[in-house]
Amino acid sequence: MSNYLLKRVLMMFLTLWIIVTLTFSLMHAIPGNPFASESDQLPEQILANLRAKYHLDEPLPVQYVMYLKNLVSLDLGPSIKSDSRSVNDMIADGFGASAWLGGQAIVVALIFGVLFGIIAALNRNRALDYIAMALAVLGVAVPSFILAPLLINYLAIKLPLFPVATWGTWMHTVLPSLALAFGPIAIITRYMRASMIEVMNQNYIRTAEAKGIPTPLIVIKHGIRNAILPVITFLGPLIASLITGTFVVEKIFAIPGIGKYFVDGIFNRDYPVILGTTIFYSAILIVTIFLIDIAYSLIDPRIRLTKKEG
Amino acid sequence: MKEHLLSIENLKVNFKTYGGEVQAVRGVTFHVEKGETVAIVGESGCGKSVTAQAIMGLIPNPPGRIVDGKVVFEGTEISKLPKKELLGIRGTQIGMVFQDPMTALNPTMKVGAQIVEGFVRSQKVSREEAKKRAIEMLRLVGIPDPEQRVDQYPHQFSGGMRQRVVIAIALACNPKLVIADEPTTALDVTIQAQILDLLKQLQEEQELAVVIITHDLGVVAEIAHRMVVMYAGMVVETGTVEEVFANPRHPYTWGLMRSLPRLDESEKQRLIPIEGAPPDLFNPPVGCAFAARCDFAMEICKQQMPPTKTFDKGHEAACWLHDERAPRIDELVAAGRQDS
Amino acid sequence: MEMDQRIDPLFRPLTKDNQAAQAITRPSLSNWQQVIRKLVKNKLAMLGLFIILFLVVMALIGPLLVPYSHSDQSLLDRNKEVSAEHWFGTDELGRDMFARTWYGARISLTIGVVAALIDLVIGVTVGGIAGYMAGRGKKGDRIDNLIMRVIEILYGLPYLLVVILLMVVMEPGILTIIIALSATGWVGMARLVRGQILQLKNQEFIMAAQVLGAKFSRILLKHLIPNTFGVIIVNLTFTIPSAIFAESFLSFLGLGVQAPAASWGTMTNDAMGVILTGDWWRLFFPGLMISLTMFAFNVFGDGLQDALDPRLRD
Repeated sequence: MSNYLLKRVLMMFLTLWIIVTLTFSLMHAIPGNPFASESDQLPEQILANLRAKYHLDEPLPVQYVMYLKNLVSLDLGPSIKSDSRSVNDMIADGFGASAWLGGQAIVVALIFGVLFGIIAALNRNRALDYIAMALAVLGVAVPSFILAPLLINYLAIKLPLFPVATWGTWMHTVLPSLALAFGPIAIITRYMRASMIEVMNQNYIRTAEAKGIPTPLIVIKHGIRNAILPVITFLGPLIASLITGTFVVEKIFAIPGIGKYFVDGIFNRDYPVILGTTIFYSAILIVTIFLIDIAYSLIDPRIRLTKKEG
Repeated sequence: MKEHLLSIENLKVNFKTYGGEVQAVRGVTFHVEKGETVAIVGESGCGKSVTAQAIMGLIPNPPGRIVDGKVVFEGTEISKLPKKELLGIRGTQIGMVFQDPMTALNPTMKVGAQIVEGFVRSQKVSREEAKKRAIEMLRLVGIPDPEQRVDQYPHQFSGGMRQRVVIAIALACNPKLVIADEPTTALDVTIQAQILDLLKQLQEEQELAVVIITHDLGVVAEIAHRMVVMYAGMVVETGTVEEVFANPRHPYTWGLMRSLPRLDESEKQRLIPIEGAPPDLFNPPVGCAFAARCDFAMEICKQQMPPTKTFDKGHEAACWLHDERAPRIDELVAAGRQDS
Repeated sequence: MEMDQRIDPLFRPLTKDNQAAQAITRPSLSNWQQVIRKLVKNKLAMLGLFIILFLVVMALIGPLLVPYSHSDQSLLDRNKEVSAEHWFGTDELGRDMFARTWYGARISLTIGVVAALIDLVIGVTVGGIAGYMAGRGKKGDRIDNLIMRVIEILYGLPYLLVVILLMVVMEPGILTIIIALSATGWVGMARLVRGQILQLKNQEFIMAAQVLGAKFSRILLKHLIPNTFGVIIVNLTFTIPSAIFAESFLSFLGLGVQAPAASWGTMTNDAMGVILTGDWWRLFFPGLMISLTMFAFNVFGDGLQDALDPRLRD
């Protein structure tokens, strides 16, 4: 067990290192430089000073080693565009809002997705199933950047229940979380429904029925626990899509999260910001997937963390 | 009339499918006495498992439904009971052993908890008592180290051990009747014998009534007192095992017997398969369902359902050959032998 | 026979000949006929197919139906509502939304289909090689292992994040989007194909073919490809909408298609400002088209998957 964990942790660092290297090389392959917009106005000397300040004048391998060194001490470097602030500051600034938003969305998606999936599965081919499935199809069909303006239009402008945008009270988080969670709810509903239908057709459900256990108890004790496993394996990619989802949602609702810094970083060609946030996101994702694997093995006694799945 | 422990009268079960309604069970009647083992024999799809599920009220509805007939257990018509009262009978009065032990147990629940789940519900016992009961049940079905095994998961058990666990589940509430649906089919031959011995031993010790469903006449001979032969959703012959094996009265039973290997006959004796396939139960034949495969079929077999005729000691068979108008069987047998 | 005369005619034994053997009545259809029959019966899937065809036809002829091009600006006709002249209204530069919507359909559908096809070619090739090499001696296993490591790492990367990075690095444009989408998109297909081939390789009918001395090329052509075809097609019906989604997502962030070209994503992005002004048609038409496309491909893919699943066949 501990052997396996060690291996997994090593693999995590290896993946992260590859991501860092890839992103670093990509960023430095960009034609044009971050001072492109200023280079007309600024005298050559100041530009050179600026390059020196950000070590852009050093050879690439030197820059790479320096970057890795800083990374080990968890320093993602300075931002090029905003003088006074480092990438760490930006992430620290934005993390609260982004994490709250993402966390709330994932919790909402899990609760409703699992619930709708169970309801649909237990009422297979009846009205409730069709309603849940229609909702699921809608969730797959309507992307967050279309749903979000609709939500703002109907629930913030026409019916002023929630604030239109920005960040502050909990009320501010409702619409963006909904916009973010809608797609994942649909996907989880579909997964949960399929898996619940399969589980409820298993022989051990019949065994439980033969024991005289009432149906609601069978659903809870025997159905859900077995049906939820495939949903958990799917959480990794789901969280990845949630992270990217925050880019547009934060943009639409003008939320000061990491996504906003990332998107701004892209437009300003602010390499360290792009590099830093990408690495940060990747690290979060890798750690989450690792945690999900552990959770999975806790729920399913057949899976012990001894061997690697193929 | 003496009250049977379980009696099934004219049971009919249909299943709706895309292709139409399948008449899986078409009027089955038989009974089980206290402490008696009755075997239901027949080939796949003859309705024997559906009959077993109907007794437990486990026919999935939809697509299945009991169209006609009744199941009476200890004088109560359980086929008409509301779901809640039926739950009180399932598990506590009637236990069930399923065919495939690899899938009959919940993979994410400890074996002990699965065994006493029904017991805890009906007896409202404490956690320690439940565990004690689970250990006791594991010991009863012959699982070594029950104290350790009780907290393990199904994947840590072998197939034979799992089937013992399934039996322990069926017996956990001291039921009067156990229905075993092909309990040994999925197991290795040596394990099959062990499980049959266990069932036989438990049946004698606990004075259980057992309904065992099988396609294996060897199992019938080993364990059952009486047998019910089913074909295409109907009973074609019933009687004590000795009677039926000694004097089978239905051509289908003859076919089953001839396809059974025998140790006492010469090695040259070949096993004779029953040619053809069972009829389509979407549109069952008007007459005897076996007529199309029967070597001795007559004109009437295709036109009318044969009546059930009673012979010695409750031995019954439904075949036109026993009608007085029919030619004598030995003539037909002689003719049949010449043909082939 | 004399026996026959003295007995009731009803009780006359049947000879083997007059016992009509029960024929199997169900007509046996070929596998693909069954799949198509089942698919045609699925109304939702057929609706999906119909919408897909409709969108394709409109993408081809739509821009020709109105006397405006997607980039014709008319400052007098800014933000005009839906009318007889402008069927889908106009945008803030007075461009006809109908022409733009169907022009955008061309871009979005082209990107979706081309990216999915590239994914298909790369994925099937790489997955096929990995699946074929696995279990073929030490060298074969090593190649399979190497491919799987690469796939594993790529699979662990957040897909859209990588696409965004690539988009930042490369010159913006349609070709760039396709390249960026395909750069990581093939991984899913490769995993799928490899898994399918590995599974098939161990099945008895393949071994039977090998034992009978069939050449590998024959096994590949007659067994492996037809049996993998289904999952590939189903996967394709899901990669096309996800590529279209990714494109509109990128374009919405301003990273995708650049003006004067337009896609549904850029049109949605342009329309963000109108949430407050209430010019609903600006958001409605591109939004509707994206949603219809996603809907149509997904329900069609679902239907195809069901039709191809032998467990669900009646």
